[in-house]
Amino acid sequence: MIRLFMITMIALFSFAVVAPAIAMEDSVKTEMIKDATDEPPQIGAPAPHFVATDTHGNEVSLEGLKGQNVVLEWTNHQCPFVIKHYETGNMQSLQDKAKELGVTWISIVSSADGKEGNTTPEEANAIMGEQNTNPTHRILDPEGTIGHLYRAKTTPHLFVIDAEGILRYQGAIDDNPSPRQSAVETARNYVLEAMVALTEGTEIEVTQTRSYGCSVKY
Amino acid sequence: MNFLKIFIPLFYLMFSIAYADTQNHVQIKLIPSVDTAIAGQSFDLILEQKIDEHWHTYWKNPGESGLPIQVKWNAPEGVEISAFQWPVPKALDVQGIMNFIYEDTVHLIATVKIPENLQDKTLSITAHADWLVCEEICIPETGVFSVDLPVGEHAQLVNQGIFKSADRALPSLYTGLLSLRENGTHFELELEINPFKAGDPILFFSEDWGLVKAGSAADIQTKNSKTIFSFPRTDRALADISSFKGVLAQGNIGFQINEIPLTVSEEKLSPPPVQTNLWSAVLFAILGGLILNLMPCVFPILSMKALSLVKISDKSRGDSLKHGLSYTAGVLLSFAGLAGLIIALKAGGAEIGWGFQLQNPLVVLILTWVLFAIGLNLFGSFDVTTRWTHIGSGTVAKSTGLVQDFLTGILAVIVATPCTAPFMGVALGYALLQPPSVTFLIFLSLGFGLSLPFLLFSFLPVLQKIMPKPGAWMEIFKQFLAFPMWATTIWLTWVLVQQAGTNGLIAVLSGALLISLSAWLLTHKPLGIWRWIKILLLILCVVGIFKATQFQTTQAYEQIAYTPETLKRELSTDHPVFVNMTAAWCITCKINEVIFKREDIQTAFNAQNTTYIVGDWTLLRPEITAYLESFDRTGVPLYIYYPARNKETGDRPDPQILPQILTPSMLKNILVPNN
Repeated sequence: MIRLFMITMIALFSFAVVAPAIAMEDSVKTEMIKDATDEPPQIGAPAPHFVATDTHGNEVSLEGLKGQNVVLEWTNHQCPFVIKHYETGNMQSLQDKAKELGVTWISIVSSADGKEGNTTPEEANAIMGEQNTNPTHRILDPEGTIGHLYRAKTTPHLFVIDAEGILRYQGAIDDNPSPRQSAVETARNYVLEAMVALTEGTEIEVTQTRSYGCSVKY
Repeated sequence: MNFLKIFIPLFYLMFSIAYADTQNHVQIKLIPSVDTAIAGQSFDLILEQKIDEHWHTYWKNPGESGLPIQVKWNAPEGVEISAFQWPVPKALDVQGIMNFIYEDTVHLIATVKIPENLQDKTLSITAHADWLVCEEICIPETGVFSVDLPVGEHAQLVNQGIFKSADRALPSLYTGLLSLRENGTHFELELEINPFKAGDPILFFSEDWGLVKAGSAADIQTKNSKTIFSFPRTDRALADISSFKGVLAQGNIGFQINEIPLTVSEEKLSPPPVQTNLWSAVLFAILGGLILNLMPCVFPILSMKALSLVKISDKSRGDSLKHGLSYTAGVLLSFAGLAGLIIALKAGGAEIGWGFQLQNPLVVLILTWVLFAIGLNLFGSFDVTTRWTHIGSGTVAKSTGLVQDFLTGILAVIVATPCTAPFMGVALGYALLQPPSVTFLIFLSLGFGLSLPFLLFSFLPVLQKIMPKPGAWMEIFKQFLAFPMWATTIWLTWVLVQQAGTNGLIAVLSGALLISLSAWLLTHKPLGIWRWIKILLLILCVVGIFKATQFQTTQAYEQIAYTPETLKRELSTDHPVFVNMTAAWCITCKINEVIFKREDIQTAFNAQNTTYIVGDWTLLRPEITAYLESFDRTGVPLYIYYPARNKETGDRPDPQILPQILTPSMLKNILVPNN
């Protein structure tokens, strides 16, 4: 009888221990899922590394670009917000300014096959000719690999990376999200500010904004 | 004049054709709430967007892409046009990019204030609108729209159907008590009343971006009867966020959360603010453990042990030392186990403290029974007691005696867990904020404190000498000790009822009945056939006790407590509403409620998304009496079914009064009319 009582006690105690442990299992699981997805890129932290081939067949590696400031521009030539910045020549002049400051400019198209903005490399080069634009590289990312790595949300969406490979700005090109072309004249251009500050070694005033535009067509 | 009368509309027609671009995916119209503008008064103006199928426009915060409509008004000087009121948006996930959108038809409402000195004969208001409409691709569209109202003395309300439905689509203002918190990783809204039903995810549409991760569903917790909706933050600095306003929404039901001061809690970032240092925490823990011995749940156990020492006091010092040490080992091991468990749970992200295990009703239930059984045991209702306390008295082998000391140590910790003693709070509060090694140390100190009295008794023969001589008083004292045990069971039962309601109460009482029946059976040693009957009965008791642990803690489906306000709120939605007025003492009600719990009836409830409101008239509640009277009833049960709103007219058909005795088939026919 004593034994029975003792066994019951032990059973009860082990139950008291096990019951919360069962409840715990769930929270552990979600924790693991959280770990499995990589964190979004953060200002002040190393920008995610990538290697890709541009539309001219050259290999582009972010690692290989260390020592230079880099701008990533998500684009889609059919998106009205992108069109606004190219038809007004705003984006081209920003790219010219980048060249002047020795900043590498990489345009990335993450439109999936069959989606708006998806092109072959030849088409992409032709479009660049029409737009009269000349970024250092244009990368086609139909799988969305780089896009997801950077959590690129919109076209345009811009990232400024310094010579050490640290992300220094991410967000909109400027502070006026209107699709009207007249908007670019008075807008405050965050990317220009960031590039200039990086070259001059001063602090970037605005490091993060919400990008605006069409969603990236993953 | 006649010519003008024809020409002006014609002119307007040409004008509007020029602007109404049939290629647009959104058709926009301005709709006033009055037919005449009166100087010095206000009226409402709707901007209606009729959006092509599969296309959408955006809420004022569009989410991670997109753009809300921008309107520039053109109106006579002095006319004030307010910002829009926006209906509850929908979250749309486009390949991982969250957008807050509108589909089909959406009405934005603005208020127009006309100045006293308006001279015009006609009030003309023009909207220059730019908007973005997206399907898979996005198209910026633009248009100019106007509305003209004659200015006069008397006005009629017009377009009331549209205004009524536009109002319904707006978020309601949340008026209950509310607090906002931010702790670095999460933004939390604490609401006094949870306005939502269980089920669909609850989102927070914040007016500024980056306050919460766009489109993430709330993690919902209930604490002290308040509901906390917790949303993951983005890495956007709090200081950069201009407003904490937003809409807390579930489906198309939304509540406007207005700006209130935000509490930023640093607890997760900064080191513990307490001045307690390690050694004072250890001291407090030992002291707390010591006092724990006097708590009603532990005191009897300790006393039992002390009594057993009375018996061994004549024995050698070495023997009594061994007993003391094995008891201490049992206590310390249990506390180490408890500490390990708490550390593991904390690592898993749970916010727990002392007594966390009591948050599980099943643990509370079993603990109640254990304490009840120990009470019976002490009272002498079953004979395990006598041998149990005669540990080391020679009738039981010495080694077994030590094992029993060890197990009693464990038992002492089990029964101690629901209690808290002075000083413990400080020590535990400190322990839980510290690294695992310190947590362990504090817990072990607590255990040391708990086992200290018995250890001292067994160590110091002097103390044993103080103990009174064994005698009949011991039995009386032991019986008395049953009462603090049972007092503790009352408290635990109360906890259980809070957690699991009357189901839990019935479970704990039935179990207690079966335990006392078993105890009674155990004291008797019948012969022959009776022996087998006794064994059979014991088995039945064990099965019964096991059955009792399987009580339902949660209601089979969601029910909302009746108040006139909740009923009104639910009736303002489109869903059918079922009202059940009941009382615990109403047998008919209870019989009918068995039917509600049937699976097919629940399916019928779910099929039409029917809201189930329950009014409990167990105690007289005037608002329920008033409701009963409104249906010419003076008692319960009363079942009222409010059918769903008619989709075309937007009206709700008259409520149906159901008979007092329900049958499943009848109920199904009412809940799912087409069946």
